[in-house]
Amino acid sequence: MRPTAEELLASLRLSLNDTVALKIEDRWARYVATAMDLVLQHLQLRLAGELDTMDADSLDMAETLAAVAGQAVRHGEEGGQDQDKWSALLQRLGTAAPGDPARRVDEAVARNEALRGRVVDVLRWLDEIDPDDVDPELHGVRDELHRMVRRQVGRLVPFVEPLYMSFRPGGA
Amino acid sequence: MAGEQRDLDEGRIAGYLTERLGADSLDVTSLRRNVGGMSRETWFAEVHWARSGQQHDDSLTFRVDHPEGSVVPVSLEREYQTFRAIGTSSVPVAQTLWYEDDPELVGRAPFYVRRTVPGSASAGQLFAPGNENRRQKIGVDLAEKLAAVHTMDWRAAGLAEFMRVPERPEDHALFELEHYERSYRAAQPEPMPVVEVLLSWLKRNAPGDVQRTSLVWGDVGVGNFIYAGDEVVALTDWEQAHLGDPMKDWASALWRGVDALAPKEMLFEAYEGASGLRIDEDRINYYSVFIDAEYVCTSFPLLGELGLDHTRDATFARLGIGVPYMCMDHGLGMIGY
Repeated sequence: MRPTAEELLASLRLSLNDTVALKIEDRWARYVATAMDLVLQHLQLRLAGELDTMDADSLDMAETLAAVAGQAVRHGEEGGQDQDKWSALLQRLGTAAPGDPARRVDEAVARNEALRGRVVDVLRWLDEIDPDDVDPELHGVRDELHRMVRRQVGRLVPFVEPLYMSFRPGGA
Repeated sequence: MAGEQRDLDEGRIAGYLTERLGADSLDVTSLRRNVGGMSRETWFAEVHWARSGQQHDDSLTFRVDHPEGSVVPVSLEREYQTFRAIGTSSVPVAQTLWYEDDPELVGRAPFYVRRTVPGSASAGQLFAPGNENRRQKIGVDLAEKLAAVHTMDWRAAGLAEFMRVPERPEDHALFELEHYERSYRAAQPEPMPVVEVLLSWLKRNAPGDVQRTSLVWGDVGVGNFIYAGDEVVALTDWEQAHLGDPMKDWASALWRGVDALAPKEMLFEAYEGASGLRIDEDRINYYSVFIDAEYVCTSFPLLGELGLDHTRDATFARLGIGVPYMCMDHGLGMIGY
C-alpha cells in the first residue's frame, strides 16, 4: 500500500514541525511537540530495522547461552565437587536453539524477550551462588554474558539515541 | 483517562487559596506548568488578594503527582516533609505552606503548596553568552551550598524520623539500592539483562567505608536550584533525598554537568573548604553508576504503563525510552563493558 509507513511518518513530522509547532506559544505544549517529533524519529528507525535487529540479538543470545552450556557440560564431565553447580547452571540455561529468523516484529520481540528472560535467570542465579564474584570459573561465565549484554545494548543504541534526554545544561 | 481532571483549574485554585489565606477576594493572575522536571508536576501560581482592605501579591508553587502517579517511588508527603525539615536549617529552600490530601479541594490530590522563591532556575539564561563569570560564581556558591547540605545536623532537623538511617558503611549505598530495585521489580518490566548487570555490580562494589552520614540531596544539577544575581538562593527537587554518602551528590552533580558552570577542580576546592570533607573521585565513579541504575529503575517501568488500553502522552514515551537506555549504555561503560 502506498504511501509507505516510512513516507507517512515523514509527512507527519513535516506537518508537526513546519506547521503545528511553529504556532504553539505555550512552553509546555512546545515541549510535548518536541517529544512527539522525537518519538516519530524513533518510529522511523524501528520501522527500518527492528525486525533484523531483534533477530540478530536473539541469535547472539542463543549462541552465547549455548556456548556457556557447552562450558558447563565440559566442567560437569570433569566430575569433582563442583558437579552440582554445573548441573544447576545447565538447568537454568535450558536449550536455546536460534531458530529461523522471525517474519513479523511481534514474533521477533516475543522470542527476544523469552531469551532475555533466560539470560536474566542465569545472571540472578550467578548472584545467588557467587554474590562476591570470587569463583574464577563462574566469573568467566559472568564475563561472557556481560560482553553479550554490551553487544545487546550497543545494538539498541541507534534506535533510542534520538530520544536520549541529556540532563546537562543545554541538553534537549 | 477521559473525564479525569488533568490540568490544574484556575477557578478551583482560587477557591482553595481564598479559603486557606482567609482572603475577602482573590484573583489567580497567572497559572502555568513548569517545563522540565518530570518526576511530578510543578505549577506556578501568581495571586493577588485582599483581606480587611489590605492588598497582597503572592507567588506560590503547587506540587502534585501526575494523574497516573509519581515517576519516582517516593511519596509526595515525604517530599513535603523533607522540604519542611530542611527549612529549619541553614540550607536555603522554599517555605512550605500546606500539604493536602483531599481531592475535592482543587480536583487533584495529594498536593502541597510552597512559596515560590524569586529568581530563576533557567539554564538558558545562565548559559547565555557573556555570563561566564556569573556562572563560575554560581558554581562555586552551589558547591558551598552543597557543603551546607552535607554538614547539616539531620537529626536535629528531624530527618531521621522518616528517613532510614544507615548503620553499616555499606548501608549508605545498599539501602537506597534496595529501595529502587524493589520498585523496579514491583513494576514487572520486560526482562532486561543489562539492569541485572548494573544492580549486581553495585551490590558487589558497595563502599565499605564512608566519611560521614549526610543528608544527600539526590538530584543535583542546573535546573534544580534557584539563582538570583550571582547567588544560589534555593535548592529544589528534594524527592530523591535520603541519608547516605555525600559523594553520591557529587556523582549526581557531575552526571548532570555542573562542571559546565565552573571547572571541576574549582568546585571541589570550594566544597572541601566549606565542608571539611574530602572529594573521593573513585567513590564518585561508583555513585555515577548508581545514578544510572536509579534512573533506569524509575523511568524504565514507565514503558509498562503505556498501552492501547492506557495511553500516556509522548513525554512519557520519551522519558521511558530516552533516559533508561542512555543510562544503561553509560553505566555499562563505567563498569568496564
